[in-house]
Amino acid sequence: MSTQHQQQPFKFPKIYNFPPFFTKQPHAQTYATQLQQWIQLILDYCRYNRVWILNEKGVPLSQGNVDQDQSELTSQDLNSSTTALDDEDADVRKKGIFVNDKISRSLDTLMIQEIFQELITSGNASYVNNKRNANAKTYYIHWNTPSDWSTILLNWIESKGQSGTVFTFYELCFGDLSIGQEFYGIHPDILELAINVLVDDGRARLLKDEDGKVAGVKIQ
Amino acid sequence: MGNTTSSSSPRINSQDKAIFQLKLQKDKLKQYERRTTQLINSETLQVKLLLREGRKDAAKTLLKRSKYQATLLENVNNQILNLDNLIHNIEFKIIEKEFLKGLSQGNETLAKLNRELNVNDVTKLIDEVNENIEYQNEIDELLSNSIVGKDYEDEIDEELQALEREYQVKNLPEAVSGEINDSVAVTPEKVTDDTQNKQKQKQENTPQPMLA
Repeated sequence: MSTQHQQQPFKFPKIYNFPPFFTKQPHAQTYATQLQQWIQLILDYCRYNRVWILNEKGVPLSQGNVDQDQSELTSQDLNSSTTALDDEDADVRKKGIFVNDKISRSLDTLMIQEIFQELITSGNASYVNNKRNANAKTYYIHWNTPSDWSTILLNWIESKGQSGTVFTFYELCFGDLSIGQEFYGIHPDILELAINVLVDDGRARLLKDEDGKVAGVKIQ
Repeated sequence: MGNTTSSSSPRINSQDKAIFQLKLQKDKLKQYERRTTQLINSETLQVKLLLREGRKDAAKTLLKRSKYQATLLENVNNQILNLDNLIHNIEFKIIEKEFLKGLSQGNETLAKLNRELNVNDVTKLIDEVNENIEYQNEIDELLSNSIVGKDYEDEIDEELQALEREYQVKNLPEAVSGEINDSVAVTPEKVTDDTQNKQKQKQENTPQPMLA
């Protein structure tokens, strides 16, 4: 579960406490490296803490194993653990990854946008389609790209001899067969992105429930 | 591999849909189970808090509710088990159906092949083949006997004996010439031996200067 790392919070690289890291480097080549280091940091952090969505300030909006049913509960868990952890990890949850209070530095919004743009072009992030609040920009962080996830799913299905079986999305996320898999508790939107890759490859077909919502898939 | 067209994508039949519906129900039960477990956990925590505050009656009612939830939870678990069994049964029946289909298909092909192989035709065919073989044997016998009659056999024997005698006589001088041939044949070998020896000596000679 998401609690498995809580004893050991994510270890930030040394550069995170290096003030110039939070200033846009004027030299093009240095800047390119800086950008790559930021991207690596974001991906490492999100993979470690299983962060699915970041907002434009770099605050994790969806983290750990996502259960549609208990989204409120998990967010409560997050709040309670922030008070317990008095470290960078807790700061990230409150203020975002782009702020480091320890050295009183924060990254310029323009550069943050450039980082997200770079993440999107490399396929490691995508916009969240937010109907309720169109102004708030949030991003799925693909520390595994949808294509990576689809390969993981396909390998898992083949190894379990479940080829040709019908799965509900909930079953894939929380089924007994999925326990211990990397995709256990995956964000439903990201799961859908991964399954769409399989559909495009002709390896899967979607099933809809009574309300017409896509809720299942047959993978072969 | 990756070039599969959309037409080869998995098809969804009525059984898939039925299993899908069952699984959706199971998901709902599982979600309910999770929710209830969470509820019971928080309620027991509240009971403890109430007891600490000394509100025994409130704690008791809460405990009652919690117990009721627990019985519901057990029901839910049983239902999940039932659904699971049903899903497995359906899946197994599908496999059995496939098995029967395969069996009947195999049976059909076998019957079709058997129909082509009529028993009467086969016995007739085998009889005919046997007749033909006998006929062939007769012909063979006739051919081996008819031309070479008994009159020739004595003549053949005489000729054979004469040839044998001739061969024995001819054998003696041949043995002598054979010895001569041997002695003649030895000399070239010796010559070649000598040349070989010379070559060997040459080969032995060449490394010596290098060693010195």
